Amino acid sequence: MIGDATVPLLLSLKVAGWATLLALVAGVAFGYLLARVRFFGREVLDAALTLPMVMPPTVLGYYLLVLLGKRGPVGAWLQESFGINLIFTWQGAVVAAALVAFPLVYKAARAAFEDIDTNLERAGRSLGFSETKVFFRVTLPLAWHGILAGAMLAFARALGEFGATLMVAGSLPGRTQTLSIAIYEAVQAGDDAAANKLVIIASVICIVVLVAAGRVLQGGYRRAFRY
Amino acid sequence: MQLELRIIKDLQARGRHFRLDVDMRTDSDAVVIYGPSGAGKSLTLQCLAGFVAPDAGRIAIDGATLFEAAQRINVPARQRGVGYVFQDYALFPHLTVAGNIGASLQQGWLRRLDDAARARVEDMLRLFELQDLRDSYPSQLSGGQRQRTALARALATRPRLLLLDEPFAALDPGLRERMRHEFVELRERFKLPMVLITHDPADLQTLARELVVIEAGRLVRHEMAPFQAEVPQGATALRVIAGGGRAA
Repeated sequence: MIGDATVPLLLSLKVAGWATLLALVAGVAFGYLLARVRFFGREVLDAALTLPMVMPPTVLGYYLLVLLGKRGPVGAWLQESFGINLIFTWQGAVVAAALVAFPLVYKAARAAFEDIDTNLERAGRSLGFSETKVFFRVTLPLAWHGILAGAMLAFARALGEFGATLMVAGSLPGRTQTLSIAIYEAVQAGDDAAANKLVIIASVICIVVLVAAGRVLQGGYRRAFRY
Repeated sequence: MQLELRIIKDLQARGRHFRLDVDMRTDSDAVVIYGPSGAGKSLTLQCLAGFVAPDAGRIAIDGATLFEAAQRINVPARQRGVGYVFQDYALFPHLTVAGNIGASLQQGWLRRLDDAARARVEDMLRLFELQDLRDSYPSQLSGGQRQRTALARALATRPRLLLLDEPFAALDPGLRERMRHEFVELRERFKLPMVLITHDPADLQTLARELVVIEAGRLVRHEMAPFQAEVPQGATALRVIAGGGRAA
């Protein structure tokens, strides 16, 4: 019964999946940096990293267009060095969705890292752990539930991304037309049946992800293992 | 064991200033650092373990320099060979008892334990009577079991010195007394030098051969057992210790 919704749905899942992965890596890195290292301008950087959450997606999309366009500093460099063009491609949609979803992972990761008892990391050091081992054996496992919950919210957010994606990647059916953009197009075209179907699919996915994220957080060490 | 400890460390927090300034040498295998909370005991121990770098001074064990400000020597905690038992034990909540004890013995990315390491974990489990709890998580343990796990974890690495931060403070009073005696037995068995900090005078009676008293960041007393009854400076608690009672 999903029928012609399959194409935008799969494209959305692909874009959201890659975007979440990018946001996850960057979010964990920045979350750890800001949780652990004190430096001048830390809270200003925090505000800047949170900005994509509150800025209008169209503004973000505009920035990305300026940056990644053929004449933009990053776009021109990518074109010359690697022959890569991101504008009006699904990869461009990934970049847009990753930027919008990033603060959700970053905020969750920073909070999760700050929540860890530093004595646990010290215990690791006194047991002879290298700093790498402390991170992968102690810090990351303990922060993982919070980070994962943030990543799931980021996935849901990336899945629903509309404004920035439309500006960067456009609405090419089968190539860059994601679920949320397909809904807009269906409504514009007066195709209520298609719109209803797509809206229900999007709603169900978001609810499932939110419930799952809640369960992940509840199952965290925070509750189960605090003593 | 020969321990040389000269530490100057300034701390500044919300306009309040605290200076730790201690200088001591000892040859004893059972040093107890005693003092009220906030005196700088924990900070001293953290400097010794390598968690905190002093601003100035020198720390050496058996002639091996661990920290020397003048020569910019600061051996990282992981290379000091110093075991640490935290006040709340700081067991890894995501690892089982056996996992906690074996954590320091794992090799490489696959986290493998070789035969020697596995035997070491078994020894520790047996020694601390934790065999039945090997697959339990710290949250499922009682206070005494947590303490035994923390000791087993620290000793699995064969440290040359064991540091203990208020090791009995988190236990019930009844259990506390029993664990003290178990602990003395253990110390004799391992012949392991230790530095213990406490604000409980009862710990001194059982555990100390050498006593260091720190108040407000300064070393105010340093003496060998048996400890004097009369204390010239106003350390009322010491009179209680010498009298065999407990502080109010």
